[in-house]
Amino acid sequence: MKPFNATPPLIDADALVKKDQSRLIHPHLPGDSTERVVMVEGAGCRLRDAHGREYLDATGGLMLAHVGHGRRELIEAAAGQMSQLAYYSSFHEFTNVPSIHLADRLIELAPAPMERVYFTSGGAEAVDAALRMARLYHHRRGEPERTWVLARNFGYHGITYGGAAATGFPMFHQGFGPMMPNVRHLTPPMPFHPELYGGEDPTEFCLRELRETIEEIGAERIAVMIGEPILGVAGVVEPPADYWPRVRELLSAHGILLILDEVITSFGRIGRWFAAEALGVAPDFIVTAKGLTSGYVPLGALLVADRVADVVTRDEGFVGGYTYSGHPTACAVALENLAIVEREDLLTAATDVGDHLGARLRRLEELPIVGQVRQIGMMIGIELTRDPDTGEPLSAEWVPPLVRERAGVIVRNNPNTVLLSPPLVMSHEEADRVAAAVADVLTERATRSTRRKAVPATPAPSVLDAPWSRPPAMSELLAAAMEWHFDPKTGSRFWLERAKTLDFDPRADIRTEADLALFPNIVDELRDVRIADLVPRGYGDERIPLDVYESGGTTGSPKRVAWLPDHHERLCAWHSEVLDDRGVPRDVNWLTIGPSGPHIFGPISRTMAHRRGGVPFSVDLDPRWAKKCVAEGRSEETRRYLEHVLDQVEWILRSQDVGVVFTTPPLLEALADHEEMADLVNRKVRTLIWGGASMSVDTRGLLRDEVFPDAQLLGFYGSTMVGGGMYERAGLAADAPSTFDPPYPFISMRVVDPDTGETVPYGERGQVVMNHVSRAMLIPNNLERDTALRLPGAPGFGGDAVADIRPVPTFAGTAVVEGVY
Amino acid sequence: MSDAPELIRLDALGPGGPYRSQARETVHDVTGHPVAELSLVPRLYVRRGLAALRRARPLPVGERTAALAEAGRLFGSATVNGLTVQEYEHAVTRVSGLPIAVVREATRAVATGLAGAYGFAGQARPRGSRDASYGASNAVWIRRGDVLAVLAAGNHPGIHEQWAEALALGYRVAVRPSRREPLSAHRLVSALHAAGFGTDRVVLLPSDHGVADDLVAGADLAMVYGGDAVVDAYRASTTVLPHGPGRAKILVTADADVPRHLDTIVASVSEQAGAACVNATAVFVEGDPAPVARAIAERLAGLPSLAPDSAAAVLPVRRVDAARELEKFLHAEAAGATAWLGGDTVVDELGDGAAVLRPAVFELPHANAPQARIELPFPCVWVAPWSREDGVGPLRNTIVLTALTSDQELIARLLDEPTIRNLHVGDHPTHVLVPGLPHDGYLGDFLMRSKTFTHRAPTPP
Repeated sequence: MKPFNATPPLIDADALVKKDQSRLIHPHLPGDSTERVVMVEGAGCRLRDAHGREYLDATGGLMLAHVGHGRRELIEAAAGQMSQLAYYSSFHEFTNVPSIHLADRLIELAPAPMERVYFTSGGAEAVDAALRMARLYHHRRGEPERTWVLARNFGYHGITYGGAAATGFPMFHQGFGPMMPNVRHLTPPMPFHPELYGGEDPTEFCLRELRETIEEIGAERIAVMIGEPILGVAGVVEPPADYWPRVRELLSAHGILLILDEVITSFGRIGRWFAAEALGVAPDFIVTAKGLTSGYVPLGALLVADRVADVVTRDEGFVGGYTYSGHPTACAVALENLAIVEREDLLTAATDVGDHLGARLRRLEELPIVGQVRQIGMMIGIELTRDPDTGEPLSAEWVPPLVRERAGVIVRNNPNTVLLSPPLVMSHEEADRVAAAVADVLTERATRSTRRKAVPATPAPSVLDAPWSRPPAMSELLAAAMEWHFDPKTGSRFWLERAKTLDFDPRADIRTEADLALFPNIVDELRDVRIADLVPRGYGDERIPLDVYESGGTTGSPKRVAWLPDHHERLCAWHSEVLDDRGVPRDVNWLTIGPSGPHIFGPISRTMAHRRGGVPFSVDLDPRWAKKCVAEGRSEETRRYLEHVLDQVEWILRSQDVGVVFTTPPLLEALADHEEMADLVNRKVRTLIWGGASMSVDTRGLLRDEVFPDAQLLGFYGSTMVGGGMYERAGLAADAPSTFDPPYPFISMRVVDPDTGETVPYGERGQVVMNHVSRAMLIPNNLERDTALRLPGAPGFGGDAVADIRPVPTFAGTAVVEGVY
Repeated sequence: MSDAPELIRLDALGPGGPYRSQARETVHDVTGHPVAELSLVPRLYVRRGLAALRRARPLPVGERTAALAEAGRLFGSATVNGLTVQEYEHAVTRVSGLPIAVVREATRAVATGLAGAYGFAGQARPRGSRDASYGASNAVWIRRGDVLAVLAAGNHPGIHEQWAEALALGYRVAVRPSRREPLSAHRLVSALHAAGFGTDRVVLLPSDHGVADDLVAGADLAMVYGGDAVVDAYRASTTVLPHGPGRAKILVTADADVPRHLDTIVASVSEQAGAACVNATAVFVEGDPAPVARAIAERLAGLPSLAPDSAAAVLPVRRVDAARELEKFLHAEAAGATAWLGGDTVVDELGDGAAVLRPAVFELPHANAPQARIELPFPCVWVAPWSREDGVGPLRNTIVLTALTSDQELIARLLDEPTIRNLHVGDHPTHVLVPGLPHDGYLGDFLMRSKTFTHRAPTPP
């Protein structure tokens, strides 16, 4: 099998995407979608896009690619035939060698009574041809009234006008009418959905409905019934074993022909050459395509029973053909493709690997969002439900993009079913990867759904529950917060214990922001406090999905804060609104280059990506290690660590679409040092958010004007210790230092003279003190390790703002190592 | 001394041209008045500057030498950055406190140094690379890298002549000027740009100390000026050439006629205002050092205290507070030594906030007294006894030694001593450099290496 080239081809992916957006009409792509994946290479089950990102193909494109991508034999078959006779018409008396051999081979493989072959360019054309032949058959036999077509809901037969009319999804009819007349859709057997049958056995229901329909329309007016032996697009639904034999029997009794649409199921997809034989049914037509050439060239083949062929070929013959009917090159490729399927025993492989994959995926049925996992050979459907008890469908459209972005695995979906149809050459290991990728995404979603349910009801509404974008007055917030945190019924063990040592009564004495200075700085106590003791009792006894985030930890034990879900929600909602105000794009992926682990940097970014419709990519780093290296003068280790981080960043930027990068000034500078990566950022990234360290006006100007002129640069100043942060004020002059307005009054700031503790005048520099007051957290009077200029808050914000953040040289007697991450 | 009407803008000179940063610091003169405003660039700017230097190709040799000569001409005579040469020299004098005559001499030295830079640099070229007597094989003198960083000192404008040799040899050069006296480096880089060196071949990157480390780390090679700490930090480095204190010395053996050599001794201590690394720091005398110390003191005591822009000024000037700090340091270190001059004070206030640093002469009790290593930026000399038993030991680690002796065996030993970088015998003051001969070794020894090149490929028809 052809290996990938060692390096991805040099393609200007972004230019291609732009051209695609302006020139191409894609099937099934919403008009406002800007997403494009430009595939450029394939080998086996692997694909590579123009960005160089590799994918594992678990769909075979559209349920084909049976022999895998990049098969040299097929390339040579095509080239060999092209060198002799690339194309000639098959109309009239003309024919060609490959089409003759292929027709013979297909009849050899096909179940009785298939005897003749009519070639088309694909499945939908073959469906149309079958419908035309069926009507012609009756017409020539003296029954011209037999024009009705019986089809089935949820059946898919392509989107030519005949095929679309037979297709049983309303979306293909709405807006395209009038459709071909005299088509009636019946109910297919879908045992997992008993609600469709009103308590009746599905087969009995369907047969009764068929009988009644024949009676209603009149058998003498019905030409043919069409159906997929196994519903494919509808979610891989296998019928009860007696369904098709009984349908065939009933149709035959009324002189109605049967078309089996085996475009998906033929040539090994279910571990057999055709599904018809497995289902014990002998149709009059078998429609094939897809796996016939594994997609290397377009080709469809309509297999026709002898008795039908005899009629439609007599007299003036079957009128109407396609330009590419019997295309010699396509037929030569199909012959070689079928030879590979046989030679490599891909029918057995489809069952073997399919069963393996199916077994792995069936474990997902334990998840509350998975209704049923259905697998036949290499056809798999995972039907999602909102409620397993009621079977209420859950949309599956979020699954493929997430699986693709996270794991590089391509799957598809119908409205509520995840569809997998890998190439038949997929290995067990690749199947394991597919299963793991899907399981990861579904499990996470299921866990989140469960977790949501587990969150206790929020306390009674109060100013503490106000959205951060519509804050109460500081006095109201303080009054409510002090009651909450110092009431024995609702306060945390930490604060209730601490209150005993205070020389004031918070519930009585804390009325203004300035009063918060009465509290001691509790930062050192947060180094060894039991995290559960920080949770206010008012949250109740039910288990709360609590997160813990840390700060520091370089020279001693870290400080920890309890992070409650309602706080996370409010904070991120506020952040997201600010980002909207700043024009930060939604529906783009985020790349966070920064510490995650116990740090809040990563989790906040992850939530923001999700909340704003993107996928969170992350490159982790351990700031404690980096700072130790710097403090100990191990610059070589720091340098290598930085390179290690940047390698990972490059892999993501090269292969993924990233709209927002969230990182730190030193890492932005490191990106700037790498011309190629800076170029990638300029081409892909629309917003660069920096936080976690200070940035000089000059560096900011260079980054904005020279290094990343195509991206928006947005500063962020936050503190884990006070549970939040704030974005750089909008509209700052080029020479003005970055200025930050807090989400006041929930977070407020003072700038003090470190020697006296007095607030410095506006415009002067001092050390930053932050307060956090909310239902989830009370962290008053927290002395930060930063200095800043004190400024009045921007209009619309309360309290003070800070500008030109700089680290203090030493903190608590220890030199502050800054500029590390 | 008069106030300048407005501050001289000293922008960084990067690959994109002048860059005025938001982070700027004021450069003051010795009276405390602001003279210039220096842009300090951030780390990112330094990295981008180095990257641009690395991308640039050297000028062809012919263009290089012509451009260097033209830059020398511009430096020494033209209006650069809005300053005539006289205005420039006046500003340097005000800022550095060096006498105007010293600054003017440095201007001439830099101008001529640039014109001859390629030739001077070539003095280090190995013989093997000069001729083709080995047939198809030859030695080729090649650069060890592409980019040289220079962390320049501000004690004397003449030091900038040195790194021009790197440009002559094809290096791209990033200069971090002294923040105390950045005018000279700025003028020289401006002149080089005007003369045809592209802005991506030589850049001026004023910065704070933290960023300076990035400059050294990001270049292929670096020349760093500083004190003992700098020398210790880079002693083992093969890519950094540290220039520390010179600790120039004079040895007077018993056979020398001191009165006849007194001019040489005094000039070695006091010329260049005693601020250069080649000014004598210590005088070792075989026999009683007191008469020598007394004679030096008597001569130095007569040097006038004048403002630095006076044509007759010979002594350096500093801000009063800085001068007092130096005096305090000197007197603390001189404990145990006998003061012949400057024992009471070396500070002579001019009344405008500046003070002349007057000469100091101290007699040490023995040759290994630690004070002999103390080098100060004004005429300050330690006179110590020396005997044959002391040997070469006290004379080691010397940028230049002037030996007033006729003892050929001793001369041979001094010549063999590797830590004595330059040796003059007889009446050759320590501060007088011989053009074309090494100053602290040839710079080319650090910048270049030789490789064999054999070319036997057939030539195309």
